[in-house]
Amino acid sequence: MRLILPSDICYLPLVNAVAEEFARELELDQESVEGVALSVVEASTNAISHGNRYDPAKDVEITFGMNEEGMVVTVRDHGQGFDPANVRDPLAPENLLRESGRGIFICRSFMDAVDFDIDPGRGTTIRLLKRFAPTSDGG
Amino acid sequence: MKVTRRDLGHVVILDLSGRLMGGAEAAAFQQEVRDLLDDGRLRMLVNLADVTWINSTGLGLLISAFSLVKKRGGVMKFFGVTERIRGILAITRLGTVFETYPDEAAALASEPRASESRG
Repeated sequence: MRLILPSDICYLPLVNAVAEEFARELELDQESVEGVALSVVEASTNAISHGNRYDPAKDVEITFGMNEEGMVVTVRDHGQGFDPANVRDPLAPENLLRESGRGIFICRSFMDAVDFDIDPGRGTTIRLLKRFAPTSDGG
Repeated sequence: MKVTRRDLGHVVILDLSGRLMGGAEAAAFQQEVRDLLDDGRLRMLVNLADVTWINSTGLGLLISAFSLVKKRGGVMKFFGVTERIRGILAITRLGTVFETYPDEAAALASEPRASESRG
């Protein structure tokens, strides 16, 4: 499934709802489902605000899919790109009360893998992976 | 998101409801806090029981309000923290910064009595 949205945060509840529905397919507990959905929202927020700079002429493209590992979500913007290594640690004492800068951290907290494909000057794609819930027999 | 105010004399309660995610409605919360501070109201309790959803932008709003109140010599506490919000506060370690209570009664009990809070 693919969503193509304008760069407007009013669409975030829709993103959250779609992400929650997909995450339920993983048979995770409710807290994990909410964490996955929040991660997708955080990635989308970053795409809207930092990537596309709220430019109405730039869309955010979100894809939802499943593979043999689990749920894969990609969020793509059309911004200038960034260096993930330069993102401040939100848990550092001097950063705890910063008003922003937690989006990627939240994604890494709730997802099993977070990767970036950055095309400088053309856009950034974040790839989020949440694995299927382990089966009771360990298989 | 909706913000309503209840003035109990020695403390003001701000009841938030809906999604805490930023945008124009969230700006109303920030303005409410500024107006209260300008009126000399320095003790605020924020009710999060009816906040149905929060993201990092919403957290930023709470942090902004909390920091502004603290800067002006006031106190902002939170109550009615749901499991969802408690989880986010925990992973972001804001739970170590924000003073939170399970419900309004507990939050009010933590407040100085009216005669002690004047001046």
